[in-house]
Formats: sequence, structure tokens, C-alpha cells
Amino acid sequence: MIIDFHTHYTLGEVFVKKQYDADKVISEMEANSIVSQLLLPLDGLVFDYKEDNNRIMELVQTYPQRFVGMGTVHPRRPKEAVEEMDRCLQSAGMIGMKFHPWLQAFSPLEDYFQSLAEEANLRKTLFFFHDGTPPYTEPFQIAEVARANPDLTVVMGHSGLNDLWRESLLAARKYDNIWLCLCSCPYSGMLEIAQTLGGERTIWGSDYPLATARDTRDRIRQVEMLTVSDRVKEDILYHNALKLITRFHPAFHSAKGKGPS
Amino acid sequence: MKIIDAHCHVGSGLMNGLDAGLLLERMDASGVDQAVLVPWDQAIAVYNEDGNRHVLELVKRYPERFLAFCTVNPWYGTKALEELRRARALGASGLKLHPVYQGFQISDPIVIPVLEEAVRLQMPVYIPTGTPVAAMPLQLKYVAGLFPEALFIQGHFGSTDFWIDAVPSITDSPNIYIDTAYSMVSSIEQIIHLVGCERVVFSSDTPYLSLENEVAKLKDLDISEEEREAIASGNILRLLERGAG
Repeated sequence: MIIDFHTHYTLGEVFVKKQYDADKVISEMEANSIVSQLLLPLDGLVFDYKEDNNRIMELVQTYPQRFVGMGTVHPRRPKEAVEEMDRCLQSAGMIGMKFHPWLQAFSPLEDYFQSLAEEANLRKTLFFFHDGTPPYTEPFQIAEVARANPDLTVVMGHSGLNDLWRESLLAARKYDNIWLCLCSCPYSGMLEIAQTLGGERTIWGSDYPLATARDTRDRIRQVEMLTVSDRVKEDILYHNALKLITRFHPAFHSAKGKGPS
Repeated sequence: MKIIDAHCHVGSGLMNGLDAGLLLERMDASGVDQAVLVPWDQAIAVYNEDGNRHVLELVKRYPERFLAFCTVNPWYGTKALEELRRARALGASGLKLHPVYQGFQISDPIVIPVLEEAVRLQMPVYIPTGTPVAAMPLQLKYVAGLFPEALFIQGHFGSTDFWIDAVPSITDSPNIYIDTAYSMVSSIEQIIHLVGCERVVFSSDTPYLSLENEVAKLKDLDISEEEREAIASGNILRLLERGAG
């Protein structure tokens, strides 16, 4: 069984030009032995985030074992951002907030965002970031958010991508509130992260539907090929994600599926 | 189906490396017939001559299995040109430049003399893209426009966050080939749909990526068997023949 900790709801405008179809998504999940997904915004990062958050909340409530979700806000509207964050976090199955700093045009070190992170820290919630690309999503920039807010759980959604995975690993070793999501990180980087962290605080994600169902299968295969123990692979593909989800959504039970777990 | 891996690293690097014997085992296990070798990380950055000697010795030892691209760091100036000529005379099939390890931007003036010499020696040039600020797809497009007679392989195809730039970098540049490493299966299919399969070559960038997984990606591509064979070996062979004049 696999939990995919990096997927997107799509409206069909930003990057992915297809409308979301939950039945098709669930069918493709089953084909890849994925029992549950974390659903993140995509179009909402750029357009009307409240509308997008609403759609994700609705999907999560309709399919409570298949999906957990995150909303997003624009940090440059501070009062509205905190209100919307609270609205999201109070909705069943919503486990945190997603940010994509270069797409949303802010730096994680800007005062606007730092204020929002402080509010999130008080709520002991989870921030999920796109990471791995300058100028605004360098792992050490995101690590500063984790350092300043020790009660905030921070997920680096790509583990530094091709060029900055070592930086994401250094950040995770330094701050134990950082989790790394193996998603579009090169094989050698995934291996070193899995070996160094021993499978702890490491999860897997596909970036579906930017990655198609076949790309998702390829990305699962990359984890299965890692020269680490089966226990570590199972932790990365399923158990760690379940642990992280239930920390913020204790009532969550993933759908049942076939597989070693 | 004959498979030639257009880009593998061998040697013992400071941050990464792969013994040639282990590479041969992995090639056999994955059904890869031949591989184009490039030196290890430290040899790309500073010890160019040692790295080139190593890969060229391996070609001499396993002529049926290995080809080699040499590397020179443009910052060595005339010494880089001498090393390029030396490696070519000893059998290097092409040139690998690495803007990040070697500390330059693709469009920097120091690169021009090296490219002029590669053109004169009829050597194709492999350059990875996707890492700002040094290795950008549109920098490569600019340079490819300066040298229409040169042949380039754009490694990594702008991966990960410069996939949008990567497309116009090749649509207007008939002398830029791309490789399959790092790109998703669906992205490779999209680019084949856009520009055809003739300028796409299979590569694994082993040991940074898994050779086994990259071969699985090649087999997963939803294309005709004729196109798959072209990407697996036909295109790189044709490119090397063109490079050799």
C-alpha cells in the first residue's frame, strides 16, 4: 500500500490543462496501489484560492479515506490569510497549508510570510512547500521558517529537486520539524536521504497529475529500487505518511489496498 | 533492441562515482549494449587530463562496450584547447561541458574558444541545463545559434523547474539534441510529439540516476518500436557519425 503525499487538485488552467475527475483519479490511484493522497491546490496558488480551497475541502469530505487536503492563502493579505488558514484547518481532513513561493511571488523570509508562519506555529500545524529552485524556494530559505517556528511541521515537497537535495538533507538533519518528500529528487539523492535519515521523516509523492499515472508508476519504482531495507521503503511509501497525516487528523483511516503493508 | 546509454559517469569521485566493472554489470543486467563514458565529478571540475585518460583507457580496453566524451574546463584557456585536441586524437567521440562543476555560464565568452575548437574537431558537445544561473536552456539556445554547424546534446532538458524554457530551446535549434535522463515519460512523449524523435537520445546519467529505471522509462514510452529504437541507439549513432564528419 502506498500513500502519495504530493498531488494536486486541478482546475485545468495552470500547467495541467484538464479538469479534475475524481473517479478517474481514484481509478489511476488503484492501478498504482495508492490507497490515499494528499491533495494540494494548483490553480488556487495563482487565482482564487478560497474557491480552490472550497473544492479541495469538498473532495476530502466526499472521499475521506482517499484524500486529505491542504489549502493555500496569499501571505501578502495578512488578516485574510490567517482567517482563511483557520477556516481550512477547521475543516475535516485538511491537515495544513501549501505554499509555492516562486509561483505565489513571495520569499519565505519576507515579513508578511514570517507573520503568517508565527500564527501557524501557535496552531502547531503543517506547512508544505515547493522547494529546490532559487530565488524563493531554496531549502535553506525554507529551513529558516522551520528554525524560527519549532512547533510548525515543515515538509519540503521535492527534497531539493536535482540540484539542492543535499541542502534539503542538511536542513532536515539540523531541524527535526522538517520532513522530506521524495518527489522528482534524483535516485542518488533519494538513496542518500533514505540512508542518512534511516527512513525517518521521509515520505514519497508523485506530483500527480503533473506527473501522469505512468510517471507515478516510474516514481514508485525509483523508491522500490533503492538499496535500503524493505522496512525503510515501506516507511517511505506508506507508514511515515500515515503517521504524519494522523498527527493532524487523528480520525484518518486510509482506504484498504493490496500490498506488503 | 540495441541500447546505447549516451551519458554515464565512471571513476571515483569526491561526491559520486562508479567503477567501470560495476557499470558493465548494470549494463548487462539492464540490456544496455554500449555506454558513452564521461569522467567523474572531480575530474570534470579540475583534473580533466586524469579523467580523460581514464575514460579513453576504458574505451581501448572495452571497444565493443564503451565510447567516451572527454571534458575540459574552459577556465584553463589554451591548456583546455590543447587537452581537447589530445583527447580527440586518442579517440574521444565528443566533449562534455558542465557549467556548474566548471564554474561558468553557458553564454560566457570563455566558452567560445572551446566550442570553436570542438567544431573544428567535429566533436558533438554535451551540456546539461536546468540549474540557474549557469546552465539554462535559453543560454544553450543562444550559443547553438552562434555555432549552427556544431551539434549539442542538451542534458536534463531543463529539469526540473525550467521545463517551459526547454521547449523553445530546441524547437528553433535544429542542432540541439536532448537526452531522456531526468525527464518524465510523459514529458519525453510530449517533446517527441512536438519535434519528432530524431533528436532524442537515451541516457541514464548513472550513477546519479538508476540505469535500470531509466531503461524501464525507455520501454514505457508510448511510441512506435521504430521510434524507440531510434531513441535507444539510432539517433546517438547518427549524431556521432555527423560529429565525425
